[in-house]
Amino acid sequence: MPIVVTLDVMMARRKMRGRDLAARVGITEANLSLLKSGKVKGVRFSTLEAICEALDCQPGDLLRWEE
Amino acid sequence: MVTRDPLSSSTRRLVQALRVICLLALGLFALLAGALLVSPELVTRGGWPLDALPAGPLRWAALAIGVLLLAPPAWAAAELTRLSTAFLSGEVYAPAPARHLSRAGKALLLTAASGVAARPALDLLVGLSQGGGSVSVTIGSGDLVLLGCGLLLQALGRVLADAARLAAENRAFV
Repeated sequence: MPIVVTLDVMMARRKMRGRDLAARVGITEANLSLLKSGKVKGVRFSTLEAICEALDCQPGDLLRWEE
Repeated sequence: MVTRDPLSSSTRRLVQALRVICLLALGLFALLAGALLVSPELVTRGGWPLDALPAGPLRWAALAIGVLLLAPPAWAAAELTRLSTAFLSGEVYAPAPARHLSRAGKALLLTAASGVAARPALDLLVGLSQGGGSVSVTIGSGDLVLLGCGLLLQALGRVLADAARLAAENRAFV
């Protein structure tokens, strides 16, 4: 898939653990793991908004398009 | 993947009642089939023309029609029992309940069709035993109600299948 999820990079920059981020966003750790590995069909705007708020970043910091 | 959507308590009670009724119906159909085979004179009280038929193949054919007539409604009751079991286990927006609902609809359509076909078949048997006679096809209001209910269940089954597909798609989003 040309869209690459760089959530793990941003989490490392912010030194945030998966469990903490999942709790702050309101999703399960399993779903967060699926999102990190790009194994989901899509992400809801509400989830994206909560992740951006928790990591203090922009959606563009979490997603990248590759040819 | 099947997710569990617990039912509200009022819906749960309704589904439990449906399950009990379907189980009772299944038991009744089994009892009726047994009674038909063990004590065929019982069926004559239900309008079955057994008295008009001599003992032999024609009489057995009439009995077989009587027993076969019980199969489609028993199938409908079995499918509705499975449907309510799936609902009670929290399996609502999933392919299995949609399949059971659709099959129950098919069973009701088959019940209506077999009811319509059985009467001329019995007339034919009586005619054969008397060396002639006429066969007529009649469709009663009960047959039409069954036909309507069958089509309705089929439609609801398709709607539930679409809902299950949408739910699965929604689950793929985080």
